[in-house]
Amino acid sequence: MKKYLLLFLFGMGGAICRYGIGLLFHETFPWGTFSVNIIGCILLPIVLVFMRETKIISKEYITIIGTGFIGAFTTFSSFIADIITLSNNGKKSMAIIYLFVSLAGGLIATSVSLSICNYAVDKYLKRKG
Amino acid sequence: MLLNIILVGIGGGIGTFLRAILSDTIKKIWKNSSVISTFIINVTGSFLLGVVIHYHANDIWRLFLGTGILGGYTTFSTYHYESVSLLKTGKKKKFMLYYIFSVVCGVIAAGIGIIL
Repeated sequence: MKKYLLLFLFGMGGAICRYGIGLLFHETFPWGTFSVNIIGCILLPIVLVFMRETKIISKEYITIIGTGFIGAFTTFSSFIADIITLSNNGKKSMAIIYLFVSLAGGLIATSVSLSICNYAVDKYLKRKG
Repeated sequence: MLLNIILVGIGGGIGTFLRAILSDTIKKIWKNSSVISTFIINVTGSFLLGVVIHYHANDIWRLFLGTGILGGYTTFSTYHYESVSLLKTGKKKKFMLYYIFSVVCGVIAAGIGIIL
């Protein structure tokens, strides 16, 4: 039960941060959703790989930060809705660019972050002996 | 402004809670089903956001239900983390299927939600 309460609270934090970043942009391109999604893709391997392998924080909090905060910080539904909204507003090419840039950006951000985290875990564990 | 933040926050908490419960339940039914649960969550969330956009295009409900609950319920980071994990473990077919179908089904689901 405590786990779900903490997930609720961290989810609140993630959603509020996402909303806050969204307020920074008032442009025709959905920069807010794009930014949170890419930042989240960079952060998730840090929690799920680096923090888990090095045991810097407890297993319980790995789930709470990863699933709770970062899960709520990023959003799939708004990403999809942005594509449809752009397309419905006659910005079809912008919708396609947004779709591909988000997907490619997400893949690159996750892969690069994951590689760096694996490397950092190796270094950290060797140093610790 | 403060009201907006509270609505998004509470909604985000509820969405996260629902995602965790649903994902735990699905994982109990099917083992190794992390990808399936994220897929179901993201596609259902996209459909529901379509419905919210249809009925509440520009009001406070959009903020609470859409940005809050459904934004917290669906996740982009886990979707990508799982995709990259599939790719790194050599499951290329599964990766392609999961990666592309999530977006295609998401767009169709949201489109249906908006029309309904």
